[in-house]
Amino acid sequence: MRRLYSQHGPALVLYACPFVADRSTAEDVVHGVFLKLLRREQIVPEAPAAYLYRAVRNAALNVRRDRARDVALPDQDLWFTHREHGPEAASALQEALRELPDEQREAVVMRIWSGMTLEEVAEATDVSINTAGSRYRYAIAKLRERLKPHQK
Amino acid sequence: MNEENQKFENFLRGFEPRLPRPLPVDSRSRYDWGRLVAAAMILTAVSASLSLVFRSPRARFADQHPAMAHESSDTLINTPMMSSPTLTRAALADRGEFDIETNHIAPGTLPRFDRTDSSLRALAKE
Repeated sequence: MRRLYSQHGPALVLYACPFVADRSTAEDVVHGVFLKLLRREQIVPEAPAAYLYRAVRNAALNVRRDRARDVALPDQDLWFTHREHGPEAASALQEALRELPDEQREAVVMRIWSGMTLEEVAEATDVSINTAGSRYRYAIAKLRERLKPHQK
Repeated sequence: MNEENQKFENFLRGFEPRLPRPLPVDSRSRYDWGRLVAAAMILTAVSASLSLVFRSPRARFADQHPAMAHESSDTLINTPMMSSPTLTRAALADRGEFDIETNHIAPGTLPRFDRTDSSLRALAKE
């Protein structure tokens, strides 16, 4: 379980961030999913990454629905560390990801930061592999356009 | 195009998502309930065997010879008991008085051999 958390935890929090108000809530959502597995309320499935993404998405949407009346303050937390590319590039990537449609963003997050194959992305999002692939390509094209000034 | 895509993907991978705080330790998962149940069962078994080993001789006697135990308990209930210090003081103060006192207590305290239905009497005959 700890291995799963260290492998997918950071990307899952990144995935949950746009659904909820702030990063701290996103971490709570991810913790909730892992704690259910730790307490054996849910059996670890054969494809844990796909399950984790589906569970985090559902939990994050529940939180968003429950807190719909709350006034959300703008999230000041950076989603990425910026050792290599600097804080401006990290901030630009964050904004670009936030602006992507949910289904395109999740394809990128799963593929780039969780290392999932397109087959796994398709399974996690309940779509065909072709749909998963085209979502991913659209997302990459948009991100490339937005991040052009920051690419060396 | 594929090479450019690959380069851009590597560029994206250069951004590392910030590490979330560690998973909280769940108090419910901290215990291994199987081990706790096993420990409780062992404790119960040990207490039961200890209580058997250290039972009072009277209780053990009662288990082995219920009829005789009933007989002696009847007599003991109806007889006033004197504590050892009291008996010692009585013996030191007045030996004659002590003999009279112990003779008075003895029939109620010691097993009876003289009754016809006495189990001890039957055993003694064997």
